[in-house]
Amino acid sequence: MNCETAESLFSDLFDGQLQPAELAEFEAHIASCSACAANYAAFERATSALRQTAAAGPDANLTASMLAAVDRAVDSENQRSDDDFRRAMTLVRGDAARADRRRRVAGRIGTLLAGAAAAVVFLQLSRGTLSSQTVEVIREQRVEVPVEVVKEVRVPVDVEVIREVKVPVEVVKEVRVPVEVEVVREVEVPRGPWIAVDSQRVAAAVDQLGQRILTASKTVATSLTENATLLADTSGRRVTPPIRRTLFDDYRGDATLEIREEDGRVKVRGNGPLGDFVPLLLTALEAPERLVADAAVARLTSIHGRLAGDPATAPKLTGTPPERSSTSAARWRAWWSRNSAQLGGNRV
Amino acid sequence: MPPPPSTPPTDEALALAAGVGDRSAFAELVARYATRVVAVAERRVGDHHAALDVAQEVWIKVFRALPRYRRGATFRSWLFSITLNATRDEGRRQQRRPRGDADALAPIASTDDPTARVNIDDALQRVAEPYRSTVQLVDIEKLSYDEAAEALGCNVGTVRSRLSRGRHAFREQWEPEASGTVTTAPGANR
Repeated sequence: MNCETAESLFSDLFDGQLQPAELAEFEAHIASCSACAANYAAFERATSALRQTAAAGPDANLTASMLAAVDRAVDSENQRSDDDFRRAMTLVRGDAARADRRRRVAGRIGTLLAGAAAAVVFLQLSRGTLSSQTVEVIREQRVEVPVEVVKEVRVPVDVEVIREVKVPVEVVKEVRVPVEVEVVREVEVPRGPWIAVDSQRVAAAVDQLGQRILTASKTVATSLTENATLLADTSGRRVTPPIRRTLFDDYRGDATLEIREEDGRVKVRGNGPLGDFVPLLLTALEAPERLVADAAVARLTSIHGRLAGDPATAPKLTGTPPERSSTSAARWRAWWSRNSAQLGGNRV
Repeated sequence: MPPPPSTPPTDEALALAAGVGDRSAFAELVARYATRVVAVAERRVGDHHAALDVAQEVWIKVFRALPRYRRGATFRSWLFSITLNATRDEGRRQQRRPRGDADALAPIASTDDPTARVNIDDALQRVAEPYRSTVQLVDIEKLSYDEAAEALGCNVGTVRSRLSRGRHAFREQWEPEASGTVTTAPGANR
């Protein structure tokens, strides 16, 4: 072993990392080379001095100052989020009020039509135009429609029946016909900030579920706010990138919220620890969807059961979604088309 | 199984709790590492006030990123990785600023007393990057090779080689009269 090789081993020797053979060779060299022996002694002194330099100890003032800086940054961020929410809420509420007025008018028209045509009950209430974003939650249900022939058709005004239904009517005074209808709730939302969450309302609703859920609600709020911003950026191009957001980590499995546009509608999908997550999700959406919470819970429970119970049957996605900042419609559509079969069954 | 109540929680347990909103867990992490983050930053940017700014930025980043913190990585290697990245950003900002004083790192060989040892901090400050950061993380912050590799974003072999060169460079700066004739750390001194 020459001096250069010996010196290259100083650091490993100091840390006890030399192999026995290397160590023996090194020791043999040192025994016969006083320069290397002195050199290693100096190296050992210097490195020992370094290692004796204690890492800095705790400092209460510094800790308080760092925590205060974090608080300031978070407060400032929350203030910006709240402003965004208030702006979006105003827009959505205004639009929801307009939709309500349209429904009331359409309901009266439906009654008149039904009264004029005794043999066919035709109900086509106002639908949101497909060119605007909508939030929808669908459930199947059987509804008994009371029909009093020729005189009146009673349709609950808070249910929109979007399907043409032909009902065979016997000439009796009154019949009750079981009709399977698809109940669709639609809330039109404007372009730009497209969906709103009242962060205070979300926080209050989930507060009782504990601090972890509160944190998750902020994550939902942040996700939706970011998405609102994103959509505002892309509103001229009808591109709504899907948002997949993990809400809970290391907390009884993952929970995710996905928001995407498909066939002209914004769709929301969630899975995860349902007892906590579903109320959060539904509260995060605007009020009318609460009516179908039971169906959504059942659907989500099923999805969650499959995801959590058997990884083999959980949806396997192909490729990773494009970056959130991407506004390429083609890229987003390509990714969703690759995965639509896997994701389609999980529709909420 | 949860640890017995008398055992202080590990950094990783605190990080996971802080990630799901446990404020006191986050405060405990800051208490444990606030000064060490400043120390690492200060050795990198060479200025205490700039290091405090960097440290604030680091804790804000950590607070935001904690929900994504995963089991597996040790907290301190993750934390120091964020710190080193933040100091890189600060270094770039400093380069864009007009320099005031001349280079603060005057050559130490000019000392009149050849036996005088320069301050450890000063000597370490004269070791070039990335050797200085490696020495600091392993010898002062006592990270293992694996943890240092994670924090520095390199492999363990690179850590060992940088550590060797960094220690030789430090020795040459700290005790120049005792330096060997064989230079094993070319470029490791600034």
